[in-house]
Amino acid sequence: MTAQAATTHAPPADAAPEAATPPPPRRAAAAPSLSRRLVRRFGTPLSFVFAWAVLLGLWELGAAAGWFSDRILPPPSQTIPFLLAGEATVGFGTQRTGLLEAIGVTLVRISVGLVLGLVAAIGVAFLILQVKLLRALVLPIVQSIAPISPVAWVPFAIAIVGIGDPAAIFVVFMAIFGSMCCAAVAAFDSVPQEYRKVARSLGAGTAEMWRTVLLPAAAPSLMTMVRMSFFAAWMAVLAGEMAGINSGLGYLIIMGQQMYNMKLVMVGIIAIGVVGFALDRLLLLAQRRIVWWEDAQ
Amino acid sequence: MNVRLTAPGEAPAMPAARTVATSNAAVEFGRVTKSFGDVTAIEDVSLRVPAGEFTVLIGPSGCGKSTLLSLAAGLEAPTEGFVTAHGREVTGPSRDTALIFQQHNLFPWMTTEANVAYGLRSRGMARREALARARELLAKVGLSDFAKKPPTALSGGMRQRVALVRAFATEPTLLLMDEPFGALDHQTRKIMQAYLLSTWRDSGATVVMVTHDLDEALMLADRLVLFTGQPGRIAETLDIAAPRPRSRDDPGLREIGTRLERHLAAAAEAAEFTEAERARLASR
Repeated sequence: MTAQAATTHAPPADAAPEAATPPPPRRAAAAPSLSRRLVRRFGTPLSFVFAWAVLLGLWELGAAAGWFSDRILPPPSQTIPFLLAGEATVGFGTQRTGLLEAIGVTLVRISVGLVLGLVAAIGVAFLILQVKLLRALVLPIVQSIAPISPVAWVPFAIAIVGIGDPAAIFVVFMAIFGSMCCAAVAAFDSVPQEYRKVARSLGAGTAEMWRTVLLPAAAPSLMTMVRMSFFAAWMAVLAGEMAGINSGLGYLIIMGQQMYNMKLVMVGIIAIGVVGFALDRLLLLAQRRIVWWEDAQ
Repeated sequence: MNVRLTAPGEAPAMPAARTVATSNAAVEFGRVTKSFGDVTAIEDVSLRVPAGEFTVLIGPSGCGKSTLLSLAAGLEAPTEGFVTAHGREVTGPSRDTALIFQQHNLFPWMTTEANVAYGLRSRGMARREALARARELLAKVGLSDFAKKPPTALSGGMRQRVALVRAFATEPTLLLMDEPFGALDHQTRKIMQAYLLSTWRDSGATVVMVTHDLDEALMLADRLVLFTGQPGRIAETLDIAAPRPRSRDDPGLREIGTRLERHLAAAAEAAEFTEAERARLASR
């Protein structure tokens, strides 16, 4: 299938959990032993849990044995009660914000930035593909914006829209727009010519060509692009929140540093890891549903 | 067995001006040259494809046969000369023209029936109606069971059959095929050739087919156009009047086959090797 040339590989980050959903056992295969079946069914989640248990156990042991300071690297026995007690907050009185609220604030920023970035990237990619002149004029600019570190936009964002959500969304947008747009142009460019020729000879106009051929043909690459951009957005917003946008999960961590409360920092890190991982799984599920024809072959 | 031979020099003179063809030509190329940048794909090609006939273009790869199809389909414009379809100059893709490639190019994100319905939908037919018509057409070729399945669930031959059904769904008067069976195995290929012939006879469409396969060309063609490269030129035009179904053992066909084989081999060699290399090969 020529369409598969456009697919990109999943990021290495999900190489291990990828196998968490093993393919259904084939009926034709000889029945394997019970232990083998258990390993096949639960092997990866089990090793996932086991690996973490070992690491946390060593951590606990190291803190108890005094290998490192539990004030700098608080062990699970301190962090988990701290998390459960709901003490992971910053600010006082009406300014006081908790962990869940911080997560919510950060997630809204990412989602809005990601959606705006995606829409703008596809929109600009559409114009670049449709108008030859724009490919010459706009694409070089987009390509030069792409590698700029998102944190570099923070002073600019704050100067234009002040601190808070708009600035964070701006930073997320700038972090992902350039690379998303380049990836989208590449994805549309690599749609096989034959698909376009067939559609045109069957009478498809420009709008129909985009809707029924170019978008679906590029969808696998676009979905991978969204997942990669999600990671970039996630990092950009946290960096932005640490670098002056005084709210959200990043701010929670930076306050932990300033108050020398490493448990707070640890809780923030756990939240970032867990939420990021969960959302990537969700996006992966969405990807499988949206580009259903890709797995079939 | 009636074989009429036209040497390149005796080719019927083409009018230089963009006059409307007076004959019943479905497609007409008038002194067409097509260049892509510095590369001239075809040079000074004049060809008339009579309506309702099965014309096969044969020649070594890279001799511009596919370019000729793109021109007829209106996907490319000639650098020089003119292309007309049914007497009118080709300026873009036409509703009366369908294209088939070596790869079936069915859209994997649509069900089989939606693929067949695609052209009908593009022509403004309502979704439900188009899908119903697509199922009807699929039923005719014994693929009812696969209507709701994606093309990935079909075998190679079935996919190419669906591609044919999709192309014929809009009832084109001109069918352009670029090595349509090149990717199929020998047996499937023979079945598909028979299927194509019967579909073509029922539809009354004009077919222009590009192939590398001499055997296929001899079995199918009313008229055989032999190309040489590069740039692509017409070397010879042959009419084959043998009745169908044809047998591979027909002595007349075998005679043409042997002669064309030599011609094609020489053309392929010319495309692959330089003058010096050929001299060395010949001396061995």
